Amino acid sequence: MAGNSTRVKLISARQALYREIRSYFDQQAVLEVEVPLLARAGTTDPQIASFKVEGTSGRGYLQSSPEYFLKRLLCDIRHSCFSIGKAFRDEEQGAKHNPEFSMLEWYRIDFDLEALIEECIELICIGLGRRELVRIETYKSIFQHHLGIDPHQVQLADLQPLVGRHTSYGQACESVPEALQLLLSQLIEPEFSGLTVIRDFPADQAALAQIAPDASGQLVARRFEIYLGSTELANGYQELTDAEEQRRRFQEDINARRLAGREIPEMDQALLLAMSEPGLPDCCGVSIGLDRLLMTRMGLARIEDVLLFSWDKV
Amino acid sequence: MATYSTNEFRSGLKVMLDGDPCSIVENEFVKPGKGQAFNRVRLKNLKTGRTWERTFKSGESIEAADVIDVEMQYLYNDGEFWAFMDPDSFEQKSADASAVSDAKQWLREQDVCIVTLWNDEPLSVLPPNHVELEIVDTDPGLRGDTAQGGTKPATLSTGAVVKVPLFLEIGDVIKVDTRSGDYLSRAKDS
Repeated sequence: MAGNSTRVKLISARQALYREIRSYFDQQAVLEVEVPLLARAGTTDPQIASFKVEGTSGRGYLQSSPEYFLKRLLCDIRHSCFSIGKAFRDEEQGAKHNPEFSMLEWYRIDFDLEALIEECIELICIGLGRRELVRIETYKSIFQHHLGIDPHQVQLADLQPLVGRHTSYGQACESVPEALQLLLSQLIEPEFSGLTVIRDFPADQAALAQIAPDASGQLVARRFEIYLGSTELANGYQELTDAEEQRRRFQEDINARRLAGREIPEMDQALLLAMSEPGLPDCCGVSIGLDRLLMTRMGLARIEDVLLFSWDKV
Repeated sequence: MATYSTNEFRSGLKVMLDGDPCSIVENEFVKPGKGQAFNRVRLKNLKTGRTWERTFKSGESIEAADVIDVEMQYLYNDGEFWAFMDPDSFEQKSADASAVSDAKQWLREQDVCIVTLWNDEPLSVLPPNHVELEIVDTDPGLRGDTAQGGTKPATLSTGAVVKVPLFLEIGDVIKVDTRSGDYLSRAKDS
């Protein structure tokens, strides 16, 4: 009896994608590392829910990204490295989300943000097996172009009517980032084609990126995202290296989580310790959603189309 | 009152939105890697039939709509209301013109329809897919012309006007597809 050829094709495509990624990093002398998926500390990101695991050996969280472990390693090995592995996010399921998904994340010592953006585009094109038109915008230029507003200066009261006019959100927004995000996802992203890079995010969306003034003196997050069509594919930072600032952001996150009534994970003290001594070397890092990359490579519309066992089958 | 959280949203779920009962058509989860999660939902307003989109913050809850579909037998129209009866309990319900809407042109007494009840009152009526109705008015038939194409309008006992083959006459009973309004065949017993 003949086997399921659609599945064999899918398996081969993923195998080829991973082989091409590994071969690229081989040539670049970037080390492949494997890091734990289960750890005592979880992400403090106010918008990410981790799966909690209880065992007789202890309790912990399935990791929502390999970031904390890779950074601890970087402090120690001081060598560019990457990981291909699973990441877990509770409460995320839809056409482009599966609670368990595959992530490529890598860090480049001494790369600046521009160099990493260039490498990320290169790697995405390798993964797709074709070149794509690339458009590079700043968060400010894209909002100015579509709405004539400066996202770094705009007030919530001025955003409410725009949200009312351009999105299907039926109520008032609670914050500027929330309003900007709605406008981005419902008005701006649908216009994207090819590869679109957005960089220099508002400082309050910095996550773990450095905050620095742009050419005009405006403080912005040294962070970028890359969209393939209108799908978010990559998110990268010039990494924050200051341990004290890192602790402050963890605490801010935890305060936001407490306000929202969310689970409060333990801060990753081991990361904070490594960042203060010997310290995180100057580096940039980025992650790519591999299932989404595979979706486009194969011309498939839904994430479950590229998963052998999606969430509702496990 | 029961509520549904966005993570329970799926197509067919009946919810209240802006005071009207709606049925969820499509639910799309949208979330950037860093940022707030939203559910972008397409809903059909069960009162107006209009479909619209609404975005909710993920985790938000909205009120459930007490909407059920029941099979009921159509009894009569008193000029203002259309009366339906539950064949098991014999309980009767009156549907107004907005509830019967386009279905009224297909309602034949004794036929079993699907009546959608909202808070126990008829919200809409779905006639059987196929109904048999008598022609009460049409141009004289052309006997013998049973094979060739060509149609003419015919008024049925319920007031509906459908296109029928030329050979049919007043008094003939025909079978009609209520979804398309198309003539299907002569009824077997006519």
